[in-house]
Amino acid sequence: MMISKVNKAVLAFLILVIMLTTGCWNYREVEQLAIVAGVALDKNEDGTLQVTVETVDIRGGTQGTYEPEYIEIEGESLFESNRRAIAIGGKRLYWSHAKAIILSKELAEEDISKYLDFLFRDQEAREDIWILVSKDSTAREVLQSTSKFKNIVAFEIDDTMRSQRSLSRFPNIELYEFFDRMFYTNVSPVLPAVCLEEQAGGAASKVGGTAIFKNNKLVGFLSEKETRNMLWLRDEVEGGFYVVDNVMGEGNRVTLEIHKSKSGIKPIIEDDVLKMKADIRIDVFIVEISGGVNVIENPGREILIKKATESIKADIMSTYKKVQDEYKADIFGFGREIDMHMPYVWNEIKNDWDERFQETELVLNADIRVNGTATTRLPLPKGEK
Amino acid sequence: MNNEKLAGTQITKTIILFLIGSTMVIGTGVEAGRDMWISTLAATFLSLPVILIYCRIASLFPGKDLIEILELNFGKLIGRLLSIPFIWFAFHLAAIVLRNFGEFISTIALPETPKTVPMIIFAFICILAVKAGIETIGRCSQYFILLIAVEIIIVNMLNIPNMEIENLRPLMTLEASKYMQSIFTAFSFPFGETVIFLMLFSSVQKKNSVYKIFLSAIIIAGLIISFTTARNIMVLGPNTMEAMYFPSYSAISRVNIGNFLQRMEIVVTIAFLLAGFIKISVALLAATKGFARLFGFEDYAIWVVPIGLLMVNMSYLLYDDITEMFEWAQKIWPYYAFPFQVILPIGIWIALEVKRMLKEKKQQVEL
Repeated sequence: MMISKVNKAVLAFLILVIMLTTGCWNYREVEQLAIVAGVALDKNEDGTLQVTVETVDIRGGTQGTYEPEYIEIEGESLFESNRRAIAIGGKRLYWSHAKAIILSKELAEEDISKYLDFLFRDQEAREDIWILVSKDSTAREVLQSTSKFKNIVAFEIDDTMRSQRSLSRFPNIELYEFFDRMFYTNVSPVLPAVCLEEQAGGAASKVGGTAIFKNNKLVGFLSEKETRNMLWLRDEVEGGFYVVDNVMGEGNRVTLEIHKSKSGIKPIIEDDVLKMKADIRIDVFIVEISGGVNVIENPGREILIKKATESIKADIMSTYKKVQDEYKADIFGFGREIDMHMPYVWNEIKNDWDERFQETELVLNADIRVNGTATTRLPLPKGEK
Repeated sequence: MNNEKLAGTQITKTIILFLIGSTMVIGTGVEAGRDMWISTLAATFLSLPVILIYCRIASLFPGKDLIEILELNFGKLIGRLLSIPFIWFAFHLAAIVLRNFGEFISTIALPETPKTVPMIIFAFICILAVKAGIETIGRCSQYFILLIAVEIIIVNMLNIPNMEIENLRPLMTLEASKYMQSIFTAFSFPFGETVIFLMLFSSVQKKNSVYKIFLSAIIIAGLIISFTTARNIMVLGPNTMEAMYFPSYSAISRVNIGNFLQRMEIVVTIAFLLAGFIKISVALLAATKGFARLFGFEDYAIWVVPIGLLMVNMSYLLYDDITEMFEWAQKIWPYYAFPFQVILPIGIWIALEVKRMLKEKKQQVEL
């Protein structure tokens, strides 16, 4: 096809138009944005929401550094506060890099869906944000605590959450997982808890323990140890450690590193009674022995395994009982397991699962295997008396 | 321009893209919750009888499109009257899909840009494609489908770590009525929409079997849609998926490999837009061709721009906002589309068969 002269002129014109008039409709320079790293939500005495935003102040230069900058806003809703922040400091909050949301205990005891809907809905907020519940201080204090390595508390919390697998002392719940669980009637969602701990240089934030929710309201906390027991029943332990005291005689202690853990959880019906059965298989390494006790060679090893098995079983059972009696919340997702494995049974019991959960018996089996003892074959000898 | 011919594989690919076009973006058959993927799979196969009727109509008069067939058999007046609903359906569908994509772009990427801007640009490209004719659209599909296939495969592989097969369980425990409803919705959107291809079959080379083209396209597209739905449920969880306007987009945004390979959703959005472009173009082409034929024009090309612009207006006027759009798509569309997709084709088919039988009898009597 020949291009006529007129067409050529039109073509040139169009190319010019494209080159000269393009641009973004609502272009925002990075200097105009305040990059949100973390947010703390507290409740004021008059019932309004106190929002503390930790933003990242990037300073240029050959080695870019970043410093936290805090903005505090009062408002009725999260979005309102989000926009009110513009009036303080003149920048618009940019949510795509937010890492952590900390809720205060008072706020979590109300219906949390009121405050989290914005995160579920907004397109700028990505779903890799962690939500944490502040256990004993206000959320704002946690966010403004001293940071150890990264200057930004929210980034440190993000790092902590990502290393959950080698600690197993708080649940690793991603935002979208929490939201999905909120829809289920047969699961009580949980969130990691955070508190302040005195360190050299000031109080620093520490993630540990679990906040238990029932019907969107905070009903209580589990300690760090109980959290690990809970994680075993949720098949979420991927690492961590376990300490066994007094393996043979008094005054000795063996620390096991959990290498792998797999929990098979399923409902069973025994004599017409619905029970939950958990088979937990744990692969461990012996990583620390104190008190000179030889648990590497038999019979010491057999005794250690037996002792550890019993101790783990007792721990899990006590946490299970505590959750059943005190919180009455099915945080283990047993209701959902029944729904998955025995949908017809579930249809009959789903309306009074709340009461039934408190009576459901747990049949527990633990199988511990020692996979290795790091690099040495013998413990250090115990000092003579 | 009206004598263009398409190879069979090209039209198959066009139908596949037409089917997955907006379905990949907004999802279909939400009534069945976590069993959605089963009901879309069921809808694929349950739609086959209706699809076979379309094929039969097309293969009774090879090389002719629906409006010609109607005119030939029912006379000029009745034939033309009967073709008006189909032309309207194609036009309306083009407008709806354009609006779907307008809302999609405006929600996920350009919330502060007026919806009309992306919609007009999108419509402009579709008008160009329709002007260029079905051959161009067919060849576009041939290349787009490769791109889309590669993207689907790569993205799904990257999404495997996020998939939780537990989310699909338990299987099939809802009330039967929910499945029926979900299958019905999934039939009307997207499978039944292929009725508008009846208006384009005059452009297929005669040596190709309509049955083969149609059935293979439906089954391949059905499998893709069903798999995508299952993926969305596995990645998002059934509850979140129901809550999302654009589940596929949300599911893909979960891809995060080592904190490095992430935020891929925009790349995949392009694949969605390519399929949407094919869908709108095909619907617009059918509407324009039908319109031109209705008023006895030899060449439809001059009608593309006015009808395309009308389509933009129409799509803007259709709904007030995205909530209305989704409510309409889920609650009204299946019933609205039913006459166009099922009742009219079946009526026409029966009439054609009866006429043919009478004709054969007559011939036998004459012999």
